[in-house]
Amino acid sequence: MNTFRTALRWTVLVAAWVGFVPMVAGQSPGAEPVLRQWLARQTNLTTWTADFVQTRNLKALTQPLTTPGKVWFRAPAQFRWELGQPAQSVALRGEADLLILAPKLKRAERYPVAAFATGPMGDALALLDTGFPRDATAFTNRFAILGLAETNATHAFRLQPRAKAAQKVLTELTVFVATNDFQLRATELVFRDGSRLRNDFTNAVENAPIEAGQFEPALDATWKVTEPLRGRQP
Amino acid sequence: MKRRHWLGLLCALPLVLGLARLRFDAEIFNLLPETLPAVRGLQLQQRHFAGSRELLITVSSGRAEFADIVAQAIAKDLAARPDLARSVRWQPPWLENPAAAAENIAWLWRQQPPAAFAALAARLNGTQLADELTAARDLLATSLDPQSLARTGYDPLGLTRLPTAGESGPMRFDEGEGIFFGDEGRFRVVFVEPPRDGMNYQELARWLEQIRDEMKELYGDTLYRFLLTHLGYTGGPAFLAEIATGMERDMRSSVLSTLVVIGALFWFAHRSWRPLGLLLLCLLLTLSLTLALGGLVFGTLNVVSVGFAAVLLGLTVDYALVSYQEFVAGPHRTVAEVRRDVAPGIGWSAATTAGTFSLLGLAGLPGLAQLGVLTALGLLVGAGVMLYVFLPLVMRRAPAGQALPPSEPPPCRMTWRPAALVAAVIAAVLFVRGLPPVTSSADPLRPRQSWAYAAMDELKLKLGRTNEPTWAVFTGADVGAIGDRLEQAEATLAAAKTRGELTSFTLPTAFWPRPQWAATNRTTAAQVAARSEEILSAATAAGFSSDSLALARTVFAQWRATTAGEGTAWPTNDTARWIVGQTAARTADGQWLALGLLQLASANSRGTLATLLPTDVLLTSWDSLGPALLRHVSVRVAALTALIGAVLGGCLWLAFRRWQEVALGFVALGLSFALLLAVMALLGWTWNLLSLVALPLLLGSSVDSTIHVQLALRRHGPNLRALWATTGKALLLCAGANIAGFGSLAWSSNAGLASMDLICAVGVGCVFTVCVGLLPGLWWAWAGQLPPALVPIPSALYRGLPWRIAVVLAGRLPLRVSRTLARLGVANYVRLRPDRLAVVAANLRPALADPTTAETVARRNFAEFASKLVDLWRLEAGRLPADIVQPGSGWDHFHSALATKRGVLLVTPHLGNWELGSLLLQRFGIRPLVLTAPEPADGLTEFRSAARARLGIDTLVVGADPFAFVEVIRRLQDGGVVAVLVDRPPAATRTDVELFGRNFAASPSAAELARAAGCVVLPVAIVRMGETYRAEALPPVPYERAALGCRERRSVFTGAILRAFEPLLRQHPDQWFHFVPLWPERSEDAPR
Repeated sequence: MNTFRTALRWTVLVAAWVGFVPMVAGQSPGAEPVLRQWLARQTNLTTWTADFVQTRNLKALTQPLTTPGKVWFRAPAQFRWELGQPAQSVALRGEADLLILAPKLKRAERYPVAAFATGPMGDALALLDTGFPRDATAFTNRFAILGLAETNATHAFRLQPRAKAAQKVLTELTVFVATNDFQLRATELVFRDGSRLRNDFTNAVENAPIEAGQFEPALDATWKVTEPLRGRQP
Repeated sequence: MKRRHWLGLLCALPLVLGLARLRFDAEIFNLLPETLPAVRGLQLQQRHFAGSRELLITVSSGRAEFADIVAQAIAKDLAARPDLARSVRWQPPWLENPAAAAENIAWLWRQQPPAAFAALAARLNGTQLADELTAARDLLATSLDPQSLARTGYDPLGLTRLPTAGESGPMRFDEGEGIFFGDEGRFRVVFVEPPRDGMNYQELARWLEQIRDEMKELYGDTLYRFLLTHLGYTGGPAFLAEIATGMERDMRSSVLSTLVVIGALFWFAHRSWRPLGLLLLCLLLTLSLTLALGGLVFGTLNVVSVGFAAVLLGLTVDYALVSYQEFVAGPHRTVAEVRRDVAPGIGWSAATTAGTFSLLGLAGLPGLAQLGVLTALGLLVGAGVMLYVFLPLVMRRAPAGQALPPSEPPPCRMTWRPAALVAAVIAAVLFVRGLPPVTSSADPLRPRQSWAYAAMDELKLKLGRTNEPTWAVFTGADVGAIGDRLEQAEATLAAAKTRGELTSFTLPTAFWPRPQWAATNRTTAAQVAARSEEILSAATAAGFSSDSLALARTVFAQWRATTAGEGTAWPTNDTARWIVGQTAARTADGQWLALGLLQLASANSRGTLATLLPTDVLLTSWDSLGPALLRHVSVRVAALTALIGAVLGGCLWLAFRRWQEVALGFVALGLSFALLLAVMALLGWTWNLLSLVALPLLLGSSVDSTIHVQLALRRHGPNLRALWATTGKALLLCAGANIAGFGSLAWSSNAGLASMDLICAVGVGCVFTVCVGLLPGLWWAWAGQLPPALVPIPSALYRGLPWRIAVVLAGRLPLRVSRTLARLGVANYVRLRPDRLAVVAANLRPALADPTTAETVARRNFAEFASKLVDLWRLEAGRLPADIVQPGSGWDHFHSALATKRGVLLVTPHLGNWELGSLLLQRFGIRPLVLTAPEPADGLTEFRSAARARLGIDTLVVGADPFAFVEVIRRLQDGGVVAVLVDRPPAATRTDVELFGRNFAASPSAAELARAAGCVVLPVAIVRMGETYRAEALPPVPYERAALGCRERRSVFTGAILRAFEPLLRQHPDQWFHFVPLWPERSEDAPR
């Protein structure tokens, strides 16, 4: 019993240290200057639109699924993702809410922005806004930089969510930016079960005007809007 | 001797049996009335559902990863110790064993309505299956919800989408995760099941210590600090162990501290070790005997009702103090004499207080009822122990010269003004501060400083469950009945939620067995299972991997394997057992229980919901327990207090027989209570569930003070310092002992007990202050002047019917029983009528060598009178043996007088049992004529005359008939014998003579008869000597017949007759029976 307990004690210590170290470190020295360049460039963006192809390699499927889509982004934090053509899922982030729309079913789910700080909503946000950092400090607080690779004229920043809760779902995120102009080329998310989700962006346009209505839902009376977080304890 | 040993053994046997039966119960719910739905529901919830039996170890850390690591390590460590834990959970069981989820889903589908199962079967067939799979692929391709992605990934066929079970929602395993962690993972909860069922509070306390030691040994304090982590312990076992061991510790320390304080007070008052030691021993003996009786009567005593111990010690020590004080005042008296003097007062006090405490049985709380009965038993036992054990032991070696000389301190009169001033101050305080409020929360039932409650409060905060939940406990004879009730309740609660009465509710409807549906669905399940390969192949063809179909494969296998009869019981995997343990239970008598959880929108919703739900659904919560108990108790407390008030009013009337003093008694109690309220208001105290019961306790235990003080005021009059020096000092000691008894629990770990005892202690102090400090002034202002003729008439008990009843009873009961009853009755009468005692003492004082012993002799006089009455009744019933009267000396004078044929006039005072003279005269062959005044009641005169006639005595009632004396003279002149009493004449015919050197009103009838008949006047008396009587005949009183023609000469002759009895009266003052004032009033003889 004493041996068991001693082993357990050392396990705890090692696990704590191992978990602790990445938090204290979490910065790949070589990536720092490149990261700072990319983040500096992002601060000059006011709008960004692009087409993308989303590829999902899921453990549940034997073959990857690809879906075309389009994305609009307006600083500081508004975005619109349309997945599928015609759109089968739409994610809209406005001033106060995030709306997830299912146009085919005419259903919408509204989530207050404050809910993004924790829990599953934080995970969902990681799928949607990883490529659009606005604040270097906030970005580095949110993600630890595991490394930087350079291939095919792109910088690949390998990131890990610092939040342990997020790590349970997402083990790693990679942001691909062009080496010449630091334009966002792709994002790739790796889930704990080994599934991957990759967005490859094309036809990107920066700082072009975007209609205000693009980030507002056009919901008429036929839509059913729910607020899943209402009444739930945080 | 031998007989006493057998008797002692007979008495000891039940006590030994009682001690052998004695058990202690720490179950708090046994204190509360089971008839209340709130109590019954909580009782069922705490006893039968796993959540209440588990220890919760909370892990709170500054970092989520540390909390995770520590929680996991704790679970692993305890899981390896089956001696410490039967099971340990640190995360939802379905995460530990995901495979079990498939078995549970297969089972759940079989409990669904057949139509729903059929819809599933249709969905997994043909084109619908293809559509289902396509939809799943689309969702996986386009969904932005990680949870939907994860679920569809392992359940493309939608088997986890069970039909909605009403508003409480479909069965979602992820909703249970919130009880395992909170605060973004920085707070974890580990559920630990005790190693075995049925552990009592002491075993739980020891188990808890072992767990704590194990945790300390696992990491040590340093490592916990390094990991920024601290542990907490809470849950049912923690509460029970903490509360019960706290109470046990309180009881123990309170008994010890009470004994110490009592010992200190006694030492302060009397400065003697031996009686102090005997006192403490007798108190412990009282306690032990009462516990034995409690074991005999109840068997199991609740730890709260054992709190009587400290109260009992404080009250019974009064009896020891009174007894000892009486002994110290007259150390050369015998034990029987001292006991005779104090027993009535102690007995009456014990009976009054015991009666009050026993009325607590009407308070509506079983625990308090037991406390009341135990205290009542203890008071009676204590009175007996102090009178028959302490007193003889302490008097065994009486030191010489300890008698306290009487003192005559200068008089000091007090006015009503201090009482008025105090009343005004009280009114002002209450006007400004208001009355102390009554709190209805259940906090009085919880400890004051509790690590278990602190851990629970942190848990509620960190898990975001600050609202106290309301439990709905469903009861039913079988599983099906519960299932139906759950279905009904779903609809009712859904409607209540729509109306805004509920925030949310969760019922175990979805996880409840439906035997009939399960039987029907078995066929459908078998059909689907038979097609499982086809379904799985379609899914594979649609691109789903074998990992994503593992769940479906297991579900189909379960359906394939299901046999007839299965589906009524829950699955046996770990996850199912955990869920079932939280929501379903079965009692020892086979009743089924289900547990639901409600979040009410407001406290008012509970009442509405209770009326809408069936009666066998109990709504309960810790929040509702307090108000429910308060309502239950409040009604009874009002009635109880009124009943006690009525009883006390009767006791005060019997004690005082004056409405002014009865009213002053209530004024004193009311002022004491008002003073208590003012103190509570100033200190910011409140009334709560338990402290409300202090009201009847204070009422009953404090009425003695008002009786003692007012009776003392009658004795000492305006002499307030004398009052303080005697009664005041004794009351101070008694109050101090009571305050020690109550106050020892004021530091109890239980908030309710502490507040109750603190209020009682302060209340006793208020009663003492008012009764000793203020009541004298009020008494002097209102009741100080006693009516001039307070006791001019014979007792109201001397009437026809009571006399007849007494004669019948004395004729039938054994002599010893009759005497005992008579003595008890007389002793209680003396206790109730101290004014009568004072009259007798004043009557006897001139005959005593030591006038200061008048009261003592008067008490003996009453006791002798009891014996005399019994013998007289037995005589009138024809049951008295003739030889009970033996002739003493001087009867030759009688025979010589008879021989003169002049007639013999036997004269006697009210000494001894003069009526028994008939037995002796019968033996002499004499039939005397007795002259008697009319009895107070007409029927009594005839009854007694008839009784005498049967004994060979003729009766002549003197008074109404002026020619009655003619018959008397004729009888004497014929040489007959006439008997007459000479010391209680009618007022119209009295003559003043000198007796004991004082003016005395005597009857001149003997002198007048002597003048008229010339008879021999022979003084006789029949006095009791042990068990027999001795008839004494004195020499005839000489006279000159001719000289008796003058009134003055007749008066002188009458005086000579009376003075002939002086030696006998001095020798037997306790048999000279006069209960109305004999002597003309002098200042030093005035009744006190």
